[in-house]
Amino acid sequence: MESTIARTIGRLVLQFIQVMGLYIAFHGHLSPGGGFAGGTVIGASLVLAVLLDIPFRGKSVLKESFVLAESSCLIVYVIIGFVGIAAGTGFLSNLSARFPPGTPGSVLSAGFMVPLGVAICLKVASTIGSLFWALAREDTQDGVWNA
Amino acid sequence: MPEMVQSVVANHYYLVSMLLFVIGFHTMLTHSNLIKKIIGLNIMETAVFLFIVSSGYVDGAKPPIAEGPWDRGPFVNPLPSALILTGIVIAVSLTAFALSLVIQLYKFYGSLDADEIARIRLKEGERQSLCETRQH
Amino acid sequence: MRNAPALVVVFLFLGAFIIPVAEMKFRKLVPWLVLTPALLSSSLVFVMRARVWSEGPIRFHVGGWAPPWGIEMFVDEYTTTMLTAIFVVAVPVLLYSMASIPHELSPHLTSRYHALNLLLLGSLCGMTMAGDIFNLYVFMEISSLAACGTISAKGSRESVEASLRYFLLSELGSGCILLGIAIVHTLTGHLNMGLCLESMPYAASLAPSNVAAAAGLVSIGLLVKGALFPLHIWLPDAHAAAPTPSSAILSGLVVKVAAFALWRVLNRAFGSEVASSLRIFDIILLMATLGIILGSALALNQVHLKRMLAFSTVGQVAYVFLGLGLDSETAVRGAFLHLINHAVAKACLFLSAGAIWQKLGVSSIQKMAGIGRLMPVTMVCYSLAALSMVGIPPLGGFTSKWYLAKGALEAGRPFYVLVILVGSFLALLYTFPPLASSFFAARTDFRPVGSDGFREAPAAMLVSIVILGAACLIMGMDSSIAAQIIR
Repeated sequence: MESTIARTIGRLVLQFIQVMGLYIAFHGHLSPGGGFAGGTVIGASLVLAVLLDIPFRGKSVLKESFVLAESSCLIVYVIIGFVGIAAGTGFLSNLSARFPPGTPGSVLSAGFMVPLGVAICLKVASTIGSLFWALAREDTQDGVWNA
Repeated sequence: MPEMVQSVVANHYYLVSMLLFVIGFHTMLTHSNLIKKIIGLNIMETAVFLFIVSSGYVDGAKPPIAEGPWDRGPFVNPLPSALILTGIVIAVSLTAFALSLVIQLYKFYGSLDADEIARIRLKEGERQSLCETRQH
Repeated sequence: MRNAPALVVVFLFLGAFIIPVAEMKFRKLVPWLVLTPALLSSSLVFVMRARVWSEGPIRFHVGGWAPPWGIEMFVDEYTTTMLTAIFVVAVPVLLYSMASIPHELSPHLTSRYHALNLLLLGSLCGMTMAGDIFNLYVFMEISSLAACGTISAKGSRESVEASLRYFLLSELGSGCILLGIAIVHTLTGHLNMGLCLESMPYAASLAPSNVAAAAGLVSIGLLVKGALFPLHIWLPDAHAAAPTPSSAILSGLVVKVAAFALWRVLNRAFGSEVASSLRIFDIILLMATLGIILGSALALNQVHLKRMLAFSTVGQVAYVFLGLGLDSETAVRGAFLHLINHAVAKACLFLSAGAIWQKLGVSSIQKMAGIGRLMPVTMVCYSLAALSMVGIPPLGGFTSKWYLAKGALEAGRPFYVLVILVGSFLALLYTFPPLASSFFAARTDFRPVGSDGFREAPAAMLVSIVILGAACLIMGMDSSIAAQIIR
């Protein structure tokens, strides 16, 4: 989209959207939302960036960063699950694997919910961003998306 | 008769979601435009999500967020919402994948209409038989 | 190992997600990353098998939360049979795909293809072990997307079109399944299959038409995915246009897991009383009969080798549904045996067809004259697999069809013995011409594709074909294996 007004406002609003998404992801164990919802919001901010052609610092390595984000988030998830196995209580066990429970109602509580939520948030955000980016680009090679 | 009207009014969420499901199903099957088929898929899945969410609602209950240990009032069932989150993510991935396939097909055939594509294929199939050996 | 059910799926998914990262930095690691998770998961399956057969079903609760709050993975003998089938087919096919995919796909897509393959296998394992109907649905969607992805990876017109058609029909089925699951959840309040079973009689007495609607919706959806007769329309295009290893996995495993899931849901979530009162099994029997006869008949006039094999899958999967629909002890055993036998045989057939195409450029049946002399090992394994599918005695298919026939007699329906025989006869009719012409006809002039003069298939492909062909032979000759598989 070529509009200057839209691009300027988009650049301003982008940061607030991402903070909102991170807030939703971090407070998943206290209020509605969690990883998926927060990830969708941050993904929407990526869609905005692609749609309005907003230049940002990592744009040239966007393709690799999408792949890296998806894979590393799943690896973090699996490592958290393996901590449960290492503690002898089963895959993905929370309090029994001695993750710190914290005080109920504060952000840093409920064992591994916060790290898991953040991992899911980044994964979903990169998924939605990369899907939109793939569909919106016109430059494909041999009719196949040059991923 | 009044019991039927009463039960329809009480279950109107389910009725509407069934109606939407049938509309989506019908769209997927009968319309020949590929984008409409994908829209039909989305309508169908949204209808099922509506069904699941409305099945979890408890009349006059609070949202399922506990203010503290003293809060024991009737809560809306949170499980259906969790199911639907997963379902929505699945529906998004399905739509994205289907759309990318449709873009590919459009690049190959120049048309978004399934009947048109079938016609083009038939004409090409008559021209070129399938049993010639294909070298690399 | 207590966590084995989850780890089987986790290793495969982990491998699938590390592959794109490895492709960016360490390209050489990719073959190891494909085979290692498969081998790790198959060893876990063996461990689980030993445990289940000696001690009884494993119920694994994810995160330590027991149902109804937590997700359960339920592994019993039938599950381990299905898992064994998955890995017996998957490991040779993955080995084969190492050698054949660089020739079939564009180079920037090969590692994505391997990742999708591993995702497909992981989700099939998850579908087999699911103890909740919603978990079954999630894994089913993953497998459906991964399958469509592997089909369309080829990039040609036919493959994209076949993939879209498979996708639309399969998602139509999935929408119905999700609605059925939603109705069951509304009726019984549970998603766990065991707990559903307990509350189902009460729910059926309260609202019988709802239960019927849910059972019907779930069955229709799973029958679309399992390609039973009138709902098989997507199968020939999809399996013929896919890359060869995908054809093997799709024909051999994906449709079978759908059949297994149908049997599991009808028996463990709905309960056999509800299922038999709704006469679902009779409808499945009717469709299976039509599928055996018409599927095999439609394979007769196919020109393209892979398309003929795809139509033959339509016929053979109908045998599995026949066994499940007859619902007697021996018939169900015959269905599971036929599941494994056909998976192994069809994978071997598709892999040899791919080897023939890659080395000699031959893809139609008429041009198969004299190949037996050029690629002897491949064609011998092809013959073993084809005869096993027909049901000739020393090979595996005979045992399974025998059990199916015995099951039909046991259920008091001797008509289906006739159906089985007619199906085998039709299978013989469409299997015999390629075999005969490849071994006994005169050799025509072939231009070998590829620079080396040696006409036989490359080593990795050959090893996989031989393993699967030998498996067909072993399963027929050693009847103790058959007894071990299904007790």
